[in-house]
Amino acid sequence: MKAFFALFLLAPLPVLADGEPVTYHRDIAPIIYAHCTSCHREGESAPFPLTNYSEVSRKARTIRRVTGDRYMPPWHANSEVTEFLNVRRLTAEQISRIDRWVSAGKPEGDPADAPDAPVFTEGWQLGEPDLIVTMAEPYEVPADGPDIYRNFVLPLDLAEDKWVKAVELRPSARGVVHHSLFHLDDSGTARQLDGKDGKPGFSGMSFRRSGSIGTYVPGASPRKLPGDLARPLPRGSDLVLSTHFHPSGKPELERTTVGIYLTDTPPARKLEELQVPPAFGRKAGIDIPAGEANFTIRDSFTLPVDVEAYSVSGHAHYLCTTMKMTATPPEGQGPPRILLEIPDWDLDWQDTYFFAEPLVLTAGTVIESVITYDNSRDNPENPHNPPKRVKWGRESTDEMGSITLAGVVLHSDEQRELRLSLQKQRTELFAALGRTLKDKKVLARLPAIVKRLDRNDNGILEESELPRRLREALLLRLDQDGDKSLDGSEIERLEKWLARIETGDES
Amino acid sequence: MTSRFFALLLAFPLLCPSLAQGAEPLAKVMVFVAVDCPIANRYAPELNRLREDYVGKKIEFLLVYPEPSLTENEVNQHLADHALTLPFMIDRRHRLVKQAGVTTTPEVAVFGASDEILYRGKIDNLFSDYGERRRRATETYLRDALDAILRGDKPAISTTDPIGCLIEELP
Ligand code: HEC
Repeated sequence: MKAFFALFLLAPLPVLADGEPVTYHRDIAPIIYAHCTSCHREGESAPFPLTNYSEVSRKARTIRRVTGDRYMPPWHANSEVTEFLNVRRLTAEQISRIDRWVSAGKPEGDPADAPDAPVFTEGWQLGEPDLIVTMAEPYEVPADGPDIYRNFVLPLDLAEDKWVKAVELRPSARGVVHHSLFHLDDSGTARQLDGKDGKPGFSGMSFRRSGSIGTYVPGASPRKLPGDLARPLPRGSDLVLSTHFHPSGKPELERTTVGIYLTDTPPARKLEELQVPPAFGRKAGIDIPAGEANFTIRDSFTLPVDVEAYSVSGHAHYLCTTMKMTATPPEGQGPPRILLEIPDWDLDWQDTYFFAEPLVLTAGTVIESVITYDNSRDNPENPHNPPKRVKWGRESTDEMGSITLAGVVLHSDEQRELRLSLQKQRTELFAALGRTLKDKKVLARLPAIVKRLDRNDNGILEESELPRRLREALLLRLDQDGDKSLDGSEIERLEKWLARIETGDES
Repeated sequence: MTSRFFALLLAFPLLCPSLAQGAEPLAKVMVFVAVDCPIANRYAPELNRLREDYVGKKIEFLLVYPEPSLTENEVNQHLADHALTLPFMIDRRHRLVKQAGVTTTPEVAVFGASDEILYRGKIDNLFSDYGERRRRATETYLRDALDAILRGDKPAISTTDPIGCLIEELP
């Protein structure tokens, strides 16, 4: 006992600013519980638990290092310029407290000082889901090799249209599932691709996405959409999970279970996703020369109506380095504000960032995205060695780039106006469509073509009857009522549009 | 049991350099790992390949777990999970950590015939930082060092900065 005291007196006392020594139970445990344990515990995505003194002290030096350089907790948005919910970021004071604790030899302190350990909900986080589906067969993730992107088709077999409030993903091998996007497919194309190479699922993004019901990234707990908001889940849709795996050094079997929380009532206002640039940057001029270290794309969109924005998220691949979305209100209505700034883009952490309070953006506000890429050899994440010219594409070695702002119109009678503007945002897409239709001399043969395509002979061209390559653009341009088919009046619009193209009144 | 025995055999001449001579291997590679370090675990398949590629060439490998509280059962479980086939040793008192001068898991130290350190650092450049992975390594530091040694040369690069979990100081 005496010896213990002597040692204690000899050791330099680790002290807080106010002269108190730093101890695990009093000073460090609160940081760990609040910012680390949600992921670093049994059954979660992180590689080891951080739930008590011995677990934290076993990894103390590494913890000091990864918190010091802000690799952990993972958080890539600049939360100093935008206020978000659930910010996973330590303050400078917390980081230096960890540093001083480790330097002082990790004193444990008095367990009586410890805060209560966090309590986590077992099982489904939002209660029993309305619909639970599981991959029919497990997919084997090999021990080694580059990251894997794989799509898995989960038939939902819904007889009626539903609306989705939330989705919870439960991977069986959380350690290797890095993220997953929940796409919908109502064309059956994904089903056709499923299992073609002898393994469950399929690679590449060549199926036709008809919608999305959310995403999963490690550590993001599922949340129900606010108010009456919900995402459409039309009957007959298959769920397609696009999952990104990191091999971990040992083979793992992944068999994902998905819980979906539904409602029968459509929301009064539709949740709109404003992608800037649209279509994941397909027409944004992404064509990055080999070796180019600073390639930039920018695009903007002017809000035609007042919008209430909830969240913002980015999408790009390995070459992307930074992203920024700014909202500039019309003259005299305040300064520009940054909606999202990611100074160090990391494909591994494609979070959706929720604004602390819904943001009202007034009509006339210009939403601008600026996205940069580094295709040089100095970018260690460059998938090509030596660097190659990289263009827009669906493979992870191609590039994409867009920022999505999700929200609703502030006044429910302005929904249509926003929709129309979003469609106009795609003018380039439509110009290309127009040229194709003109080259194919569609106008002259329109009645015959419609007759041939209309296989069920009901006078309406359903989505499945439209030529696959043109489907998306045709519906976007012409499907006024949004029912995913072209009825008589919409076909008439096509005719008029083509006539204007013929006479050169429109491109 | 055999791996224990092997480890002692290997460690013995390291501790008593005067005994190391004659039919000794050309180089001994200590690979410092941990059971729960994600970057170290990522290397399990490459470690098996290294052993296969070099073991017939008088290069010996030893996995070292520098963690005092680790049990043999935990290590055996780790080896089984990752199908690791290398002999191992738990370096509870950090004898080997000090001898090799390592700080990190994964980190390797290559000892020459007279126990001089010929290379220390990364296995390759698959990781350039936490969370920054290449699709494939473009620099294979350890293999290059071993190939140089097999040719009778000195490795061109003798140290690189490791990346992974830092080895804790002993209490
Ligand atoms: C959102 C989930 C999440 C949170 C919150 C989180 N981590 Fe992690 N952590 C992970 C994941 C996932 C990995 C594994 C990364 C990989 O291997 O790619 C990891 C890895 C680590 C590593 C190992 C780094 C390496 O590669 O060697 C350390 C150390 C760590 N985390 C410490 C912390 C600390 C300390 C905190 C809190 C201050 C924290 N983490 C918060 C998910 C999280």
